[in-house]
Amino acid sequence: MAPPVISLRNISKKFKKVEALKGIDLDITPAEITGIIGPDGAGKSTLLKICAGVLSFHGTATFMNTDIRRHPERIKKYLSFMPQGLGLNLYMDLSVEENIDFFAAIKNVPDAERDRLKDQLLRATGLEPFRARWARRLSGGMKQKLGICCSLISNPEVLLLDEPSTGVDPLSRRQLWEILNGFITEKGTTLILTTSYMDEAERCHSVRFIHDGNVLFSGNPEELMREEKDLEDAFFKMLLAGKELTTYDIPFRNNVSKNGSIAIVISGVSKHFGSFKAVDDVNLSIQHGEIFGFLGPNGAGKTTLLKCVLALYKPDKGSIRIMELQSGSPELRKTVGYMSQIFSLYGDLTVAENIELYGAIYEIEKKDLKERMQWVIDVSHLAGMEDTMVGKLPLGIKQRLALGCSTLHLPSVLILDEPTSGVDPVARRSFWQLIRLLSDKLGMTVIVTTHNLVEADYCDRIAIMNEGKVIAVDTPENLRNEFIHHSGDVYEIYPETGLDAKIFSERQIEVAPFGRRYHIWKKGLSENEIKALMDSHKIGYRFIRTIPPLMEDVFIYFLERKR
Amino acid sequence: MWQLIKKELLHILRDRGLLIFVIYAFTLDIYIASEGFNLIPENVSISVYDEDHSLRSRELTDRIKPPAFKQPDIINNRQEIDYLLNESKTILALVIPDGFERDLHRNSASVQVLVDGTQSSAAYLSSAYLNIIIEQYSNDFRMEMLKVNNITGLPSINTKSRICFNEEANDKLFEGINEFFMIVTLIGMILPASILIKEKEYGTIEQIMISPLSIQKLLLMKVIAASIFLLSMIGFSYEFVLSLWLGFRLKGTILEFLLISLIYSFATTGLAFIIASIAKRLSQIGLLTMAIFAPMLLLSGGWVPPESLPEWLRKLTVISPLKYYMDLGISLLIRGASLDLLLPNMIKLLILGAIFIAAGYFLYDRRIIKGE
Repeated sequence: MAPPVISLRNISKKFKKVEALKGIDLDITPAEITGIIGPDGAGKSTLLKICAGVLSFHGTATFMNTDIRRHPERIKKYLSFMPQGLGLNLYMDLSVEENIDFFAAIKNVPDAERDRLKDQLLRATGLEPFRARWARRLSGGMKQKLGICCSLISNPEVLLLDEPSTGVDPLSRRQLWEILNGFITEKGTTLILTTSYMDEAERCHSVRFIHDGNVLFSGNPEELMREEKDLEDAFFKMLLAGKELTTYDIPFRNNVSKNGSIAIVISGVSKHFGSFKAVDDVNLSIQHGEIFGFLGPNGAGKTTLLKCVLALYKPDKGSIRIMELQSGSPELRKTVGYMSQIFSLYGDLTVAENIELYGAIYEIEKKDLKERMQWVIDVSHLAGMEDTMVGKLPLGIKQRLALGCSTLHLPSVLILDEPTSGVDPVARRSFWQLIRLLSDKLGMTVIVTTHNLVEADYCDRIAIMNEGKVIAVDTPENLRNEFIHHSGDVYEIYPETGLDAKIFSERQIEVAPFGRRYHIWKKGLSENEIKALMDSHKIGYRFIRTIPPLMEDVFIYFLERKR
Repeated sequence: MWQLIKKELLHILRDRGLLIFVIYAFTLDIYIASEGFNLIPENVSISVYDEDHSLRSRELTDRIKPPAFKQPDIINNRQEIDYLLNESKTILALVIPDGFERDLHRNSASVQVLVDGTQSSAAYLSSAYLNIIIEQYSNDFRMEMLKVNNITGLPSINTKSRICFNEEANDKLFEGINEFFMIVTLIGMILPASILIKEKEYGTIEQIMISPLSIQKLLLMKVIAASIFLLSMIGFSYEFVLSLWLGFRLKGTILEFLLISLIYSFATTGLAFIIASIAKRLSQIGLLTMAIFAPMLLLSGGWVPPESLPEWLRKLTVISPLKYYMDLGISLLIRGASLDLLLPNMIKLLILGAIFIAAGYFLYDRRIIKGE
């Protein structure tokens, strides 16, 4: 095995009193994709910055035999680093081409080489028609693709990407992965990326699962996926460490029943901000007691639509009716609960004070409030911490407390905006369990938005949104079946050795590399055909299995069909 | 309702930075302003170049002494004067020319005073003080000569001053109270503005907007909480800093003063609404407050008497609520005026406050609540 490109030993890093990393050992194998995964605040970005030599630390770190701490400037010519945030490394008032030229110039790339690579990158990313456009005027996904082009133009030995696909639409994401995979296979680039999406981690050759500043797992995703279908499940089990996920009950009842009648009707709703169409002619209806999810990348219009439902925004066109009332009616204020992206808790009030405040705002009677407060504290695991300032609680707990506060008045309709972004798999699953409970026991109609496509399966029905439009509405199962019906079953192949993806693509079989595995699909393709194909190329394999299609592929399928 | 006021008070009490600033402003800052500002020259550095080296020139030099002046710096040539003035090592230089004593005996002698005018008010005050010393000396010399010649009974005017209201002519009292008013103004704007903007910064305002609680009620609770806190700080500062620590003998009762302050807080709250609608972040509040405070102070007469402002600016003083507050406060605390005398100004301040609140709420409603 090749010696590691980057080798970290006993790395720790403190920000004031917070220990971001607690003595981490890490080796990065060359010409592979290493995924650093974990929830928000786990220390992923810190780790990446240390590898890039832009952050001080304790411990030893070497980059191809160079001591990173002593000579951080020596390693710079070998690596490209793209920080987190869309287009953060770009110059917004330079054009696409000028941005790339600038990054080539600072890395001393010869002009001929630059032009050749530039053409190739622009074509692969679909940015070719926008060469002269200012970076400021690109969409989020385009900015991110340009950012990666700028990082790749110097043909670096090591590429460090911090959350490259957060906020990027599935189509751009797929293109990003195609370029990245191409660089790894053709040029032997070493890629290290951080992500909080587990489906993305499955595309890596090797993963490091970071939790609370420690490495919980280091190895190939395949090691974990023998027993579990996906990494999310694997890490969920790992974090629980043999314990059962706590289950809850609700001691009180609501008089709303699930009867399949319509709770919310959205008809012809559009909302513009200047010339930007945030929501574009959305029509759908949501049933009583349903858990309804809006799925889509950042900027798809999910939050704007929710705010129209809540009457925080006035739609430019169309109408929204909730429980047969016009949205914004004062009567609705007592029957709708809302938890915003930022949780809307007061950080400088204690747990109990926050709950009491919501009780007062919703004029809940003393006796009821006492009972519900106890429940909220129980499900948030906050017993004994009633007097802790909310600002000091960890994200996952804050989230559950916020959910508790927004359901305190037992609303018939509960609206949750990105409730689970940035939490670990256990917190996520337990949160969804709670939502399910609210829906089952209290008959609440729950509307949820998420940009994490993996969460689709927690919903009864989902609406897929892109660029302000709803491109499909149905149960996740039906959506998948429709994909399978049109595109065939998806197979996962784990070959013994690397293989050339061409053997599939030349037969018009869709293929996407996932670490050492491949996902392939084509209408009418059977397992026997694949086995025959593998045998004819003399490629051994550990397994070939059918898997449910990834929501990302389903998303792209409907996007293309709509067009 | 109490829950909501309690929430706002907790926000204030738990914002450590704000709390420390408020407490400092209402205690130490007022103390320092009162003890530190001094309009009578003290310890002014002065140099004397005595060319005469006579009995009389030394007598004059001896009269320049602490506390108004430092022990004069005796120098021996003219170049040194230039050097000391250029380097700001001395503010005043007195040149006693050769033949001073001789000229004095011949009825008319002159001395030269050189002044560093950079800090014009200090220069003006200290040179006036030096003039008095020289005049006094010349007077005493004249009397001495008359005595020598046995002449008496020359006419002269003797002034007897009686100072009203601030009998000790204690400028600490005026400075301290002046600073106190400024602090009330600053905190009166910063405090409501920061609790108004925090709701926006936390993002909790949306949560309130969809709840049965009306946003107007929430804003009212915020204003009430801010006023409760502000008035308690004013009361505390009045009793413990002004009366006890600085030992001012204030006239009027504390309740009367709190009433005036309550009326004034309407105006500052209105301004706070304006600030909170413009500020994008908490950190911008300080800057915006200064931007409003500076012209308000200029127009109030706190630093410059309104009489010395240009005509057009003087007309604008009617819109500075601080002017009314200072007038009212000084009338009550120093002059001991009764409430019925203060009523006209209180009504004007109330009207001004109502206008500011209406304007501030209008702006806040448009920019924050409706989000335009």
